[in-house]
Amino acid sequence: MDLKLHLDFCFSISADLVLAAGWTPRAQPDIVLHAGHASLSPLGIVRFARRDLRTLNRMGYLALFDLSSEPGAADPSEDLFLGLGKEYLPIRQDRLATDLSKMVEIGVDEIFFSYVRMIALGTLPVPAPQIAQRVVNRILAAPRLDHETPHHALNIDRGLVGPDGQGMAKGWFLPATASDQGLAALVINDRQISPAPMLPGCLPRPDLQPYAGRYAFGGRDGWAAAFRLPAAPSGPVQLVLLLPDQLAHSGIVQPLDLVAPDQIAHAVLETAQGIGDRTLAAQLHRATLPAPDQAPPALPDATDAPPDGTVLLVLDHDLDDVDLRDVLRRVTAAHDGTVLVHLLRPMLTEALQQALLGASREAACDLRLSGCAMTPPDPADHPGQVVFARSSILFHVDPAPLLAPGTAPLAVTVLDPMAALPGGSDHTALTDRLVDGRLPFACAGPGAVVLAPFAHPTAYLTAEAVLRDLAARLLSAGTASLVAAPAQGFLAGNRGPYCQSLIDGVGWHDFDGLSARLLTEAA
Amino acid sequence: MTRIVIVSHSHPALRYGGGEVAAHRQFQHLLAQGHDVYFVGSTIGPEDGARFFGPGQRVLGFSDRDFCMRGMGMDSFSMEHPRVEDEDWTLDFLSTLQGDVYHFHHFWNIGAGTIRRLRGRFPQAQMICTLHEMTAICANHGQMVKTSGELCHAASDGACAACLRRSPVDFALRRARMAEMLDLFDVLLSPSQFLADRFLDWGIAPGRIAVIENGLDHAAPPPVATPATLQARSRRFAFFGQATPTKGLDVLVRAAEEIEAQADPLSAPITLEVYGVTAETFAALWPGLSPPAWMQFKGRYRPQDCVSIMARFGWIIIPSVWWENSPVVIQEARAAGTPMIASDIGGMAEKTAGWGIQFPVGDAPALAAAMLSVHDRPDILADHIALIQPPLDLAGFDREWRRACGHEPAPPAVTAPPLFHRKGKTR
Repeated sequence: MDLKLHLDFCFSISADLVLAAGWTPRAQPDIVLHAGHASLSPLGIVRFARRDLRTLNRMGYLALFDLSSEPGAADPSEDLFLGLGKEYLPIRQDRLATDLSKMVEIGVDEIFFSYVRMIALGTLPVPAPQIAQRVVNRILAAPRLDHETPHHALNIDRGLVGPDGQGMAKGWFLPATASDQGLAALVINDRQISPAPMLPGCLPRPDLQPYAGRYAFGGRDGWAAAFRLPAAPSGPVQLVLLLPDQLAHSGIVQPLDLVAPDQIAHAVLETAQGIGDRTLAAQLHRATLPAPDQAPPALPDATDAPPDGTVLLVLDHDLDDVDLRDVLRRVTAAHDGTVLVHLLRPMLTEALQQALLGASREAACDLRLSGCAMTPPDPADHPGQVVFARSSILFHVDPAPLLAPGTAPLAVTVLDPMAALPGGSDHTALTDRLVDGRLPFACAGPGAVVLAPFAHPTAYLTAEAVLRDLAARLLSAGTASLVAAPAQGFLAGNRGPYCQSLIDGVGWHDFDGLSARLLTEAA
Repeated sequence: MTRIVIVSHSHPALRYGGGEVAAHRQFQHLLAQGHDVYFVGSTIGPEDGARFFGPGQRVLGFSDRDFCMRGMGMDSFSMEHPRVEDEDWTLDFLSTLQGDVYHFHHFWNIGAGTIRRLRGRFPQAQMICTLHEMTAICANHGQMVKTSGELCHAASDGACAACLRRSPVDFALRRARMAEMLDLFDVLLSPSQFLADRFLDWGIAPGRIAVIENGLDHAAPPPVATPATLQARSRRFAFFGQATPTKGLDVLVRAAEEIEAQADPLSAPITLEVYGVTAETFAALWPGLSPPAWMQFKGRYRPQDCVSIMARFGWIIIPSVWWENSPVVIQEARAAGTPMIASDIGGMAEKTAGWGIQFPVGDAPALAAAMLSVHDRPDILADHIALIQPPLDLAGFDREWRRACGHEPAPPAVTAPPLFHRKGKTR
């Protein structure tokens, strides 16, 4: 019999999603997945030509089914059949678990890259790390496309990835002919794959006018893409650009430059300025952020924090380097025990070092530098009281209440100029102003609480934004205390890395504020 | 015997400035009186250090009681040693002297940290500070003159930030640091009421600052005036000072140009001599000005000759365009018995009140008018000479100092009662 439906692979993508891959000579096949008594039409079907079939007709297919769309369809005891008209192909249950691996290993390029393209477009979820590693290997082993061919011209002008796996790229693309497919992109790194949502034609590129005779020049032919790897990358990260109707090749593969997070932020803002459209710009920014985490963090047992009188001061020194001595003199004058200082600076300048030395000479208590890095230390190293503050805040408020262990897991002191006004004492409004108004604050609590958010990659450039997010979640859960300190006369500092401008007066704190808003909207 | 350590930001053997000279004169006087006293000065910065010191050398000893420390340079904004080891050394040196009294005549090159730690190390010692200028208040060289050139009447974090293009918080921090340091002193002294008032306005508590004029010994009495000498002197004017813009030499030259350009010729010759500045230095600073032929630049002079030189003139002009506090040139003019024509602000207004002629600060035509009003007028000169009180001598200063510092009760000063009393303030 001359079959009209051929099934090469059929595998589970997730608990409910099943992907079937094969070919059929029918141009518009009504492929159906039968699961027990349920018959499911595909969520989507992708057609493509296959070289092994020796025809340019689009006979290949990938069909995606959602078992959760019909009651009982996801029952693993039910037999599965793929049907087309009166033809039925039985699917053994074991194939659901093993066919993906086989497809990646022996599937024809067109099936494999159609599958990859669906991942890049976000239609399919990213496979588990073991499979992902094999997908990455096959992508890298496949032949690649040139940047310029009779069918297209393109370039990746800039490709950046940060240490936490956030990144962005931009470039331009000129096809020779129109296609119903667009550019798609994903990012690969060892065992990780991440789609890089593409904003095609979002950037004006009038400089490409000379290509107009050979390619479809539109004036806004610049593209941008952004992404966030599921975990911090452990090795080189590469961007894979998948071109329309090019399923025999991996596309364009280009290594990304590993840069600091602020450089990613700068690139996002700079690209957003070029895009102009605020919605698209927000999409680009959002793609660099992790999934929102609204759950209140787990709190440690109170006995985990031994009251040995040692305080770790995680200090955002936003004043002149020499002024560190004054700030620490103020802190040590208010504390009897040991004060350890972790400076949130990339390096210890001579002036900072001398300021620490001077402060330690004057301090009645033990004062030591425990670290100098942009990331606070591991919570396991500091179970006792931890205080986070900007120097300008410690200069303004009495530091003593922050240094003493409190009853709440997190004690937040916010400098709110409205709190002292008539009607400004409402606690809910105060919380909102802390979170949404980005008011300066200091906080204190056991290391297991204050330092916990830094044990994983964060969405933010500044430690303050990370702790603001923590404070917001704990306040929402009713497990943090919040007091307003008099803000009259408070002068914020403007030194240090966190006060740098990223672009056109938009600083690190501003960027974090935008990130927080995007995460809130996404939650 | 009480051991007194006098500390200055500079040493007059190496640099000649009002504060260090006053400090060293106090030291010499106390030493001559048989007191157990030490003097510790400092060089200003690394360039002086390299000139006067060899490798590894930290202190010059001019005698077994007179020292100059090697200053490593200090940012006058922070008023702290850039390297703590220099602060350690300064502290150790001062501590080794085991003073019962530490009298600071400045804190630049000494450091706020040094003073805090010295206070902590010797809580029983008496610590005194003479405020020679407004460095604690004003980060623009302590002159309370804005970088735009205007006189500044009050410091504030915002205004200072705008003036010096720094963040307001920098000034808040500096103010706190300076106030904390000044609070550590048992006694604060000011050589002028004007300066004391500026610190009161800034926030120093009323009653904390005692006003004592700097001491100046003046052995030789002013020359006896005769009609002939008065006639001659009334035609002679002089300026003593440096060519720094704040000293207002350009105002004086513009006034001289005004006089030169007037239509009516003068009834008698006029001379104006400038001491402390050469013609070349002046021309380099103000190339657009043309001093008349009767204005002569005499260049440097020996400080000890100053009073005798001044005595040859009818009028000493002090046209400074900043406040001045207690300029030594005014004391020297008083010692010389020569009246002054002075800018009408700050320490100049206070210290020349009653025996000098004042003109609006920076106003060259007004200065020219003032000069012409006394030119060739021996009668006016004689009247003003008669009003001059000799300056407080060092013995008088010592009495006042002991009274202000609570060392011993002293009878009221007889040599030089204060001439200037500010109205409207209650102490």
